[in-house]
Amino acid sequence: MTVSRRTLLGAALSGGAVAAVGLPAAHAATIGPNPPLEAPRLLVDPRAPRGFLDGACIALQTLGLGGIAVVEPPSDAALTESIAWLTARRGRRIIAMVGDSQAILMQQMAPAGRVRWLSLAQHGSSSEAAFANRHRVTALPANRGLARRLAVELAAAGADFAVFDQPLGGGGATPGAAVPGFVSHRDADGLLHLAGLSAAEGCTGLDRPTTGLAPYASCATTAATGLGWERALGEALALIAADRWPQQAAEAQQIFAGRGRGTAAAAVALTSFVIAS
Amino acid sequence: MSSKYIALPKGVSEKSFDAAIKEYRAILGEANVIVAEELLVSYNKIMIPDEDEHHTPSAAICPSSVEEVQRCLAVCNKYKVPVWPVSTGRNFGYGTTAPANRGQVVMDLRRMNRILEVDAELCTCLLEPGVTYQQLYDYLQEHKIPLWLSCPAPSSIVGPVGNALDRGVGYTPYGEHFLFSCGMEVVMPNGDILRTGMGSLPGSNTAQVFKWGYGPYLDGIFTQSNYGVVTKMGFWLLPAPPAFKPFVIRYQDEADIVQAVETLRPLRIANIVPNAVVIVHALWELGSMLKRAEHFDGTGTIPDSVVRRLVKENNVGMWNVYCGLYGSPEQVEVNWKIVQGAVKASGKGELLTQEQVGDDPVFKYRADLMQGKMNMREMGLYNWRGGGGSCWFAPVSQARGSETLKQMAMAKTILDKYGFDYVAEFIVGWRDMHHIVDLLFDRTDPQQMKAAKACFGELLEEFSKAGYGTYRVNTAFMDKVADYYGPVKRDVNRKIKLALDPNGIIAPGKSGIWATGGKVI
Repeated sequence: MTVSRRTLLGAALSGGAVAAVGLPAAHAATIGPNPPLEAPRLLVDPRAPRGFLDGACIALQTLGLGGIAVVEPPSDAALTESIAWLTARRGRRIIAMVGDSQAILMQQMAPAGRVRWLSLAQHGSSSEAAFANRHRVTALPANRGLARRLAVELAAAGADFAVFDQPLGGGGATPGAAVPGFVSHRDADGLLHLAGLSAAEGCTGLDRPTTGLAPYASCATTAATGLGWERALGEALALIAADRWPQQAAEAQQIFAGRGRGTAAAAVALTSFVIAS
Repeated sequence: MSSKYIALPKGVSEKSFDAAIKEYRAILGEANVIVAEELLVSYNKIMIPDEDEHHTPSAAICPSSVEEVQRCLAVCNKYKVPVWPVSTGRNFGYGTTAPANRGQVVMDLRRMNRILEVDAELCTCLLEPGVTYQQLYDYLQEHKIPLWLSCPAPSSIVGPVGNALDRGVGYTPYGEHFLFSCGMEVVMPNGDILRTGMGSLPGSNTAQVFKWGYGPYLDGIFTQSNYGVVTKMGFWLLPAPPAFKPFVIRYQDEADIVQAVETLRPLRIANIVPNAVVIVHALWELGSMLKRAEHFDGTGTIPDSVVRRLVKENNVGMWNVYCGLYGSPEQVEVNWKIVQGAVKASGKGELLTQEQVGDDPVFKYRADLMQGKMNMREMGLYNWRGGGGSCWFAPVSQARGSETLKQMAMAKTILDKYGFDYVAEFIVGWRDMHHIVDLLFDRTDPQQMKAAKACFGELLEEFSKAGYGTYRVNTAFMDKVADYYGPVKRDVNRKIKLALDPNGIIAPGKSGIWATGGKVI
């Protein structure tokens, strides 16, 4: 297979990177030097934002889990080999940000019921949509809170964005926490957190009705690191792969939207995921 | 969460479902009864323009034998739990593995993956539903059995039983897959085992060689239906021909498709060209290797002018006709002269052989599929627009050139209204033609999701009004399509369902067939 591989050894990234990552204090405190897991494999499409790979690599390094990054569009053979590698032994993980067709193939090739999905999200950017930067996160037990983290980073960067946090199966009755910097609303479908746009504008862009929307009060905080959503995502997926992402309660469906700059430089569609054997 | 399950079957209490799960576990073992969210993700991934939660399974159960299927169905009947059987579950643009309706339990038959028999002399095989084309291909290669299989484009990860039961097609002379099936074993909803055709006769060795048996021919009612769980299926395999000559005819004008069909149909009916003729539009051809955003950054449908530019830049046709010649070298040589003559007489089209196109990767994937070789290059289409949305629209027409232009104009008008591209191909069968449009959209954009759903609905509506029925449809539109085929057909289907499966436990809603006349079991 034609892939370029980069082995991330101790020397490849300096110890100073830990500070640069800006891991949330709650996460940094849980990081230990000898995790029981094998180094995850990273599959990263070259179209993926550089910050994603940086975020993942630095966090893995910090966790003592250097890995191997495949940073070319993975061929069918590479995908097949990666699934074989994953399922050959328990405790292995794949962190990926790949094109949609590669993601679909991986999803189809991973043995259903034997491979655990720790995280799954689609990421799209284009100027033709109502929101330039879009993320559709499947909320799973291992990645709860990921959508919120992305939204906070996007809002801090003044991006034009929508993040959909969709619990598998539609979610339960537990409402989510409101978010600083967002004005939160609630309706029968869940929560709507808006930054820089009114409820009417948000509903129009998201193509949902305004009827039944009621104000919702804040009850928790999530601080932005200011490092950008790309790096935050890479870091988060590394923590999820290492079982170091903080456990969070299941929430109802949520949408986060912000009307900032039209920041979609080029239209791109990618899927990120973490799978475990 | 209000329940410990991510979904519950409609009308089934959590207490009853607890009891059913406990019994499934007693039959299948803990590992083969899946209720954990992180394991059910694979069964909830859809590409169609519908909300994931409408297709969320409550659980997945994975039997490994006919007896386990029987025992699981008994539990389903006891607790009125509906199951959605899948073999390999790869129906991408038709709904993947996810059930038609929220709460149904996926019955995943992938553990039943034995190749039970391959007869190299009679050119037949008998397979379980979990067998993939890759598995069968590898088996034939390893055992040096000179037989070819026929697979659809997703090839290696798909299975012959599931594809044939959904009446899918491939690209070899045996590409009409159900037509080349012979004999089924079906677990009926009450647990009885039916062997169709000659299979019911004790001691018979003709189940895979003679389709019809005695009395009514039943195999058809187990395709695109929910009357039983097919646990074995026989197929005929193509003897590897001594010579195979794939070729492409490229046409530069969209209107040339009329001539393409008129030229190829007589050759197809006469079996000069024995495999399905695939007429691929430029955007399908290019979409498997290009990304839309790199060539067009405007809004709405990609303009024809951009498509024409891409056609020139990439040296493909506006239409690209793929087919092959099979037989002895002498037969192929004679038939090649006939094809050359027909194309020349038509005055249109550039006829190219494998030698002339060289290393063209698109030609290679088409040539591979025409030989039953595994090649998943077509998956690249999902990067054309990106966003993971795909919805296959598949109306059927007569194989006439005039039908192609009419259908293309209808499809392009509707797609253009909603801002989607015409990514399409026509597959010319013996006398029919399937028009396959892949409605590609971005599932991260709620407005595109809504537009794709409305667009697909309008395609169905307008084509049905014009007399073009779809031969297959995704799980969100099954009732709608069933309605188009009329109340009598729907009623007969329902009466058969009620007679065979009075509790409505097997795949309620499949092809619009319900035991209880509505969506609620």
